[in-house]
Amino acid sequence: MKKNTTNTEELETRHRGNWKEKIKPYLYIAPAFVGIGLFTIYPVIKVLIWSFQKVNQLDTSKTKWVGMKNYSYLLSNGAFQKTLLNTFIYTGATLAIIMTCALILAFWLNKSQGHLTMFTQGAAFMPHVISSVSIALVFSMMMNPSFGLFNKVLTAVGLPASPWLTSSSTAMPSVVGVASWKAIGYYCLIIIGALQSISASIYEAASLDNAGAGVTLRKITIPMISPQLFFVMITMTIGSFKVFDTVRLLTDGGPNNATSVLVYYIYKQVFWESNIGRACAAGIVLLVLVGVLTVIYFRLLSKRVHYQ
Amino acid sequence: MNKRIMAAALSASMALGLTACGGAGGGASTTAKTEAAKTTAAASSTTTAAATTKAAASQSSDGSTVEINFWHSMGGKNGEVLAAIVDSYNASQSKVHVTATYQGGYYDSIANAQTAIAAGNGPDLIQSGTGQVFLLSGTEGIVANMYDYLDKNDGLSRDDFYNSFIYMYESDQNGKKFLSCLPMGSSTPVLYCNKTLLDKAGVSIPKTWDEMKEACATLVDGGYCDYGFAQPRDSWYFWMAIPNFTGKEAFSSDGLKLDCKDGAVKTYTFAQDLIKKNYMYPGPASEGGATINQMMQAQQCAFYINSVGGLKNQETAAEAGGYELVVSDVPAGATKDVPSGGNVLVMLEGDQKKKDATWDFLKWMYTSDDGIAKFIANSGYFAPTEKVKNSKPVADKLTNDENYKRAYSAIDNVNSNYYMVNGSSNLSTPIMTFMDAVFYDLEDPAAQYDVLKEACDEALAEANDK
Repeated sequence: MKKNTTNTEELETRHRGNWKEKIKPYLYIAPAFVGIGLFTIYPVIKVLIWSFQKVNQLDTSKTKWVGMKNYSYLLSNGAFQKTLLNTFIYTGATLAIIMTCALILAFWLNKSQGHLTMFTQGAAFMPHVISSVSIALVFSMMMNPSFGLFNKVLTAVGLPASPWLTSSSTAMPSVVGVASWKAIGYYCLIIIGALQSISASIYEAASLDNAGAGVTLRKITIPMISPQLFFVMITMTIGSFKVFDTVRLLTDGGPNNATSVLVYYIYKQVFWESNIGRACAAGIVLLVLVGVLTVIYFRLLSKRVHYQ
Repeated sequence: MNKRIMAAALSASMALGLTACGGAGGGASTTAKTEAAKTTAAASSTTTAAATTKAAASQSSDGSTVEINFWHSMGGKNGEVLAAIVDSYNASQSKVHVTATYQGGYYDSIANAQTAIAAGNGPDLIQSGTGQVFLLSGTEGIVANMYDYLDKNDGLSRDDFYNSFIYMYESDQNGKKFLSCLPMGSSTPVLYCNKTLLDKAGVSIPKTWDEMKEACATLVDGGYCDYGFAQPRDSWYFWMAIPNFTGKEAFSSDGLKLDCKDGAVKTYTFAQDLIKKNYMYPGPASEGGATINQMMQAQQCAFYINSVGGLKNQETAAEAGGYELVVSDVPAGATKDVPSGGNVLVMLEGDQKKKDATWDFLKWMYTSDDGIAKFIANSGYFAPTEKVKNSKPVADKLTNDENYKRAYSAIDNVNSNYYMVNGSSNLSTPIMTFMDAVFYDLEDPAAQYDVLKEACDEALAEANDK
């Protein structure tokens, strides 16, 4: 009888212990969850709700539900359509330019050694550590059509001057150029890191098999650095979709909305026009676009990514 | 076991901490935070947000001093002058203590105020731009009616203010005249001229737009400078151009439609022609002011149409460039009309004691030589009242600064009818787009006007949809 009582107590103790063991992980992750809930999930839900409302921040009793009106406005509005197109153009152009230049530069820097290489590597990375504000100010001066350095050089070599940031036809390429110049060094460094992690023995084996440079690049180098390339593509796409500072500082979205991009449009809706509902709807459009693109990337490219 | 208890306690406290940090829903902690923020007791006024936080943590020790939060948009030199003004007021009495906080540009300060008001944490007084006031006053119950105080005739009355700087903020609310703000540093566009260059080319200061075109032709075609006149990229100049050039109003009589096609097309076709010939230089989007200042200094440009608030900068550019600067009226078209602008002071609704204390500060600002008079004398802005104009600092400036004196004549030409339209502050973006299309891309003004009208009418309808 005494033994039975002892067994029951032991079971109870073990059960209590199990209960504590079960709750412990939840307690550990609770702070992070509370943080995510408050600072990520709650704001996203709030933005989603506001995107269906005409929000009056000053008098919330005047906030009213407008259904899909904010979305239908955006999708039928010429300025927003142009903004959306600009965002895709900016993203596509920066992605293509940065990836190409960063890859070429990384291959070159990875092959050569010496002081010049070190200097080039440092110089290429330098723009990344300079603040966007400084870069924008310097470039806006250099791109000034009347007294900027670029036009002085162009005219000195007999080429026609460009309006750079002051014409719809040249403003976006100018902004893309500045953004690419700033980012190439950073992505180049990531790719160099990936290239240096490839074991020399793989190249030795390839060379024993008489593999040419092209085959080595396609069959060894690219697949071996594909995880990093995939990471670069995803982060660069998301970053380009969220571009704001370069546009705000260089062109203010102009001229004639030629460089207006999604985040800048959202900023204008909030700060200039006090239209919170419409800004939130544009924010949701951005969220969906980035989400869809990320899924597409994963679907299309993840199979081509080779993890060691 | 102790470790487990410690871990659980740590987790719980972290969760609570995070919850408290994010708690902006109007609970007890938020209310306390709001009150703490409003009852600041900084030792002296400052221009940084950090100082406000510091001030928010402390409270008035004797309980008798009313604490006032004043958000302003003056950075740099003007910000320093404003901080000194607030310090002078705080030192002059002990009933009210004002804490001044710089909140960024006009749009930033209004956006910050909107968020703060929504969270029950708004300031008591805001300095903002003339074009941004309506973003607050458009909602009833947010902004205090300044007539409630001015009509007491307690040292400051409505008659003290120049009508041209105040009437556009007046409206009818529930059958009562309502004044949403008081002008602080008022401005109009003026024409800055490089007199040295004009003399060299044998050109006199243009009084009409036709004369301006002729002057620019002589200057540019004769190789005296690269451009005739420059103008910043700002929607303010849209409102200057149409009434001035054509004598026509921009809006329909009910204020719900943009109705100025003939005027806009005529004005902007003329302007576009000037741009094509380099007679006019429309400033760039980024660093437009700095760019044009540099061009003026390098004498690449003979004229500059800009706010009178920029007088100091132009005087500096002229000194550095080694030429004589003369300020004149903007050339006349069918009229000599120019819009007014600058900055205003907006008192927010709230606790009566705070409003009374804010009024005490405002009254001092408009009547003391250490108040707005000091701000006006240190910038190029116009005095908003006759008393401020006649104060010693401003009177001295008018005596010693010939250009400032000349600029004052522009007050007679002020026409700010566009401000009378509810929702006009939401039109900046489409107007800038229109101006960009016509100025930079040389698009057809008539076709671009149709695009502009559609966007403006939509924005006006939305702003008036109560």
